[in-house]
Amino acid sequence: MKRKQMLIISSVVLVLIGGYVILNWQNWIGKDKPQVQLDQNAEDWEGNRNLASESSTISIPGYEKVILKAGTRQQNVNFHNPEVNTAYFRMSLWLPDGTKIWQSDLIEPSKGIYNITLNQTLFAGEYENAVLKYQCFAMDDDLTPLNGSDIKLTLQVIE
Amino acid sequence: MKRNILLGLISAATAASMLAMPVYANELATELTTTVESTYTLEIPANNGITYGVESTAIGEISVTGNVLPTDAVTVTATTDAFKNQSQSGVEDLPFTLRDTSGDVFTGATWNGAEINGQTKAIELNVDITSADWQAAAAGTYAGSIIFTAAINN
Repeated sequence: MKRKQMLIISSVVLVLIGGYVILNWQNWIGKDKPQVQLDQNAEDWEGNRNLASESSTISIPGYEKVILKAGTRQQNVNFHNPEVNTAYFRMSLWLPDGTKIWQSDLIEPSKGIYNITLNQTLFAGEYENAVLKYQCFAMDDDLTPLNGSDIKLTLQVIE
Repeated sequence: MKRNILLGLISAATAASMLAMPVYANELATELTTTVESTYTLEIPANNGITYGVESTAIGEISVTGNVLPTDAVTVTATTDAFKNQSQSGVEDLPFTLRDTSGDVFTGATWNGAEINGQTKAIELNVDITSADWQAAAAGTYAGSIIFTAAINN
């Protein structure tokens, strides 16, 4: 009878030990042999590729001719920053010999300039290859410079 | 009574003749004229955001649209300025080349009147930086710009 009891107790103990070993097998053995799971999304490295970046354009109004009045610094013009833009403009007007005769402050999109004061008066005549220069800046705290444009035009100065 | 009738008839005839009289006035004509100047819009890429190590980056399209004479054309030229290091002074600039999608160096292009009025032409531009130039570039943030110069040719 005692022998039978010992056999049952031994069996129960063996079952408990076996269960304990099975439950902890991964912790004891698996630590040294991690399962290898390769990322199926990984590709052959070919160097850096383009990352997503904001791509936008700037609309620059172009003119064939700008008409000004001779002998006065006060002038009327129709300069503007189109509303489709997301950049500031700084516009300036240059004579063909490279003399800057006017410069604006920053102009927001959908804003325009109707009245300007030139740095000097002009004589009547046609000034070919004058330049309306557009400097463009991002609308952020740093006013990051963007690409710009020079519009070559004729200044027609009338009496 | 007859006299009154006669006077009435004479008055009526006089009035009728006055109404029928032609008015000889000076005909002054004002000739109204106006000129719609050729105008156009140049569309340029805003910035040149380049990822480190990438040898060719699409920066966007350039195009010219507007209202010009069919005989007009707009010529656009591009002037590039190498990327300059904003974080360190005294280090080499990072040069780049502007190319179109066919791989040719882009220095400029011309839009004729039909292409401008019909909005039919756009050129996609890439900024190319060679692997050697990337390798030689000092650390830091670089900034460079492109100036697009446009003019109408009659």
